[in-house]
Amino acid sequence: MGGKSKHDARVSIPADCRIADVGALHTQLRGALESSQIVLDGSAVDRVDTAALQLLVVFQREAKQRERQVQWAQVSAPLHDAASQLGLTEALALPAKKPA
Amino acid sequence: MSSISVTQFHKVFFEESLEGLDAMEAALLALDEGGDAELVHSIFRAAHSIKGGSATFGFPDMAALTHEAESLLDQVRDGRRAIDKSIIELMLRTVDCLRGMFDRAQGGQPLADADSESLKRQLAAAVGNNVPAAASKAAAKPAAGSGWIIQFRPHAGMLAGGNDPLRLLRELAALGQLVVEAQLDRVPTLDALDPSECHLAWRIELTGAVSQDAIKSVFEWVEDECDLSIEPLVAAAPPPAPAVEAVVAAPAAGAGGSAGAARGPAGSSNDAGSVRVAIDKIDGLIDLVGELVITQAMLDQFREDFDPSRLAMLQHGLAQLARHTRALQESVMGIRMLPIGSVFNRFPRLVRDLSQKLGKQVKLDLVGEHTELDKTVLEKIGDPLVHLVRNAIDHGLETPEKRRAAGKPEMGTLRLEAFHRGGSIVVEISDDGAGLNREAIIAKALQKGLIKSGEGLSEEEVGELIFQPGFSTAAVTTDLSGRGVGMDVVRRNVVDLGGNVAIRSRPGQGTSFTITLPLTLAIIDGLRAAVGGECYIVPLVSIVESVQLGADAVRSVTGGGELFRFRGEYLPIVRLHQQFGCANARQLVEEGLVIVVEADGTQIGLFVDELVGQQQAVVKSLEANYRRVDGISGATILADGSVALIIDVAGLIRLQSRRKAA
Amino acid sequence: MAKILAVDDSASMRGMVAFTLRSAGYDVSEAENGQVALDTAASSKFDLVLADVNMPVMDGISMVRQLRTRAEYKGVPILMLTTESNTDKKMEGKAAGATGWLVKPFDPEQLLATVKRVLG
Repeated sequence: MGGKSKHDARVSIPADCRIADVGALHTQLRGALESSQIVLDGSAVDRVDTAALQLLVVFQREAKQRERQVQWAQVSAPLHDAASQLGLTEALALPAKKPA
Repeated sequence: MSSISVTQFHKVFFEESLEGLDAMEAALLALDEGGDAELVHSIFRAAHSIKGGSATFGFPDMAALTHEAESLLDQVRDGRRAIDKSIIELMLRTVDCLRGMFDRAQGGQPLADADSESLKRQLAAAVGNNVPAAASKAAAKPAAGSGWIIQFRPHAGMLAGGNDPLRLLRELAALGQLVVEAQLDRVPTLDALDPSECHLAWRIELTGAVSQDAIKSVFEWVEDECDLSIEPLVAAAPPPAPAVEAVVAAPAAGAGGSAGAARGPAGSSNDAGSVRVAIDKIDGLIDLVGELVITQAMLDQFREDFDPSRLAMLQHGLAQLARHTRALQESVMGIRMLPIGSVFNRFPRLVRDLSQKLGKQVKLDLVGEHTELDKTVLEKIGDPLVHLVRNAIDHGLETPEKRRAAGKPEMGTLRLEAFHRGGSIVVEISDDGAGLNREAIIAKALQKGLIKSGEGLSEEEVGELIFQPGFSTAAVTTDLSGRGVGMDVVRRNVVDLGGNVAIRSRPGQGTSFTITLPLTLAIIDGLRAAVGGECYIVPLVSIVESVQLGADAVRSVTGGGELFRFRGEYLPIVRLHQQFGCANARQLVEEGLVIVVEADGTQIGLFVDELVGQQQAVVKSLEANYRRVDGISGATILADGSVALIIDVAGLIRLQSRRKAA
Repeated sequence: MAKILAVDDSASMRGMVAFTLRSAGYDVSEAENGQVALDTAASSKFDLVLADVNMPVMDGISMVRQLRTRAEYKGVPILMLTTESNTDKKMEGKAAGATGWLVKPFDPEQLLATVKRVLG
């Protein structure tokens, strides 16, 4: 899906996405905001913490303000559970149900 | 998980605690002489470790005692209390008491006794609190309402500190039903965000029969890192919750209970001597083994096809093998080597107690604590050293008045020094006291019939007299030295270790005892001597010289003995072939060789056929494999597989003098 | 399995902690003081650090403070092993960057429960 330069961006969230390593994701997300359509791939996420989810929440809010289209390609179960536990499912605009 | 027993760590806990007590004692004594604050810290640290360990490993009595000691030390450490003699005294008694408790713990006996209980009360009194009555357990838990509203706003740094709200919310979810509402009002823009800081907050509704304490314990670690309020869910008003009590961990009852069970079989196997080995020594061994493997591989090449042109390489390889084997041997022996400091450590206390008792002022200098000795030697040298130190304070050093009168500083100096000399370890115990009382010793020796006259005896000869059995000069037998052990026993103990003791004394200036000990008991350097068809090893340390005598150099004396003149003195000759019954040995003095050997300051000549060479001998016990033989200290196996006996020089000399006396 | 670093100058305490955790399947490394722990933590990344407070060479509090300056230990749980009499030390440890504490004496069950709680 990627490759359409400015109009399309795809961000894959790493398997271990926790505070010590969120710096790279932060940079990637800031870059992605330049595109009009952004796909977040959460399929690989195995370990995730509040810092990472907060980053995604801030990203989603900003994307909305700047009228970017953000879509989740896939959301792993650990990502879904963590978001739900923290009451962030809505703010992250996660699909209501876990993907099959 | 209850299968995990803590008893398997008892042994190492005992070992490290006893070391900790030694360190504590040493620091207390140093503090007594005006040490610095770092000493207090190290004393506190030792007490603290023992307290933690004893509670963990199921020794509540010990934990209770150390708790009081620690509290007192804490006051000193904080500067709430000045250190004084009474505290040091109390702490020293605590050290002693704990040692006793460890003794009893190892024997599986109850730890507390009347002394320890009384000491605990004294410590508590010193701390200023009475031994607490049974800790007031938290009152019954408050009746739980139907739920709580929790407002939770982490401070920015909470995430970096390892407390993840995700984990906290999961723990809450385990308590009851949660409705979580995240509050995003304070999150910054993506560019401004430091992703490691937390800007989220939560309002959480928790429904279920949950106590406020249970919720507080979830947030226990983060009380200082968040704004937190816990309010009862409206409509249901539960009774006001009492203030949270300090959490007191339950004693490890399971651990205590299983301690007894593990005692039986484990106890006996634990008694086997063990050595704690520094990692770097083991690493050194592994390196050496690696070298050996390389050398072996190199030598292996020659097995395939050996070309004479490669002889030099083979020789080089063999030389390397010899070098590595030697190094490996030294390293392995090194594992048995321990610093003498562990023995020296007991002296500050001994000297302090003794000098106080006798009203003498003594400064103790310990030098060379890091000098290493074979573990067996180390274990056996303690008692002789204690005896010499007691003697020095009791008989050697004078009272402050006498010292002042003699123009010496009131404080006497006692010096213990250990160092290497050649293949031996030397331990010197010297004092700057009055020196040996020549007149008293000679009078005593005359009275005991040890000598016929004191005329012309040198200082050395007078000194030798005190090593004679049954000799004691103290006008009044104090309870310090008069323990029925004389200097003769000291000497015998040292000689049994393959060493010897010498004394040097200068009137008015002091006395010094020099103990020379072999580096190890397991291997000796010796000369191989042939006698008839047999081989004997004469320890190199005992050998003065070997001489070839002419037939006319030997004089027969009445009673069948033989003497020869050596450096102006007549020495007896012991013919080894006669002593040990060897057939086919050389009989004529001029055809053989006399090895002059020395032990305990006495020299004799050993007559042998010839010297074969020098070698290291690994000592095997003759007693364990055969039976004890007078004049033989052990056996060794030679390169060709035959057995050679090792000469016990001191034993032969004793035999010789007995023969002379008979 | 999660990697845990156990730091204590007491060999028995360290041994008990390491043995208990290894029995539960964790990958445990040991260090006998703060300095050794810092070196060990530099050569390998740990998921959890358990540290005694009072240790020679470098105490647990100084160790935590230094460990927290390393980016890779941001957010990694560090628990102080402390005694209940040391309330100040708990707070001092927290201020230095510790996550929480485990009160001595603790038995293997308590230790495992706490470790599980922190590692999730």
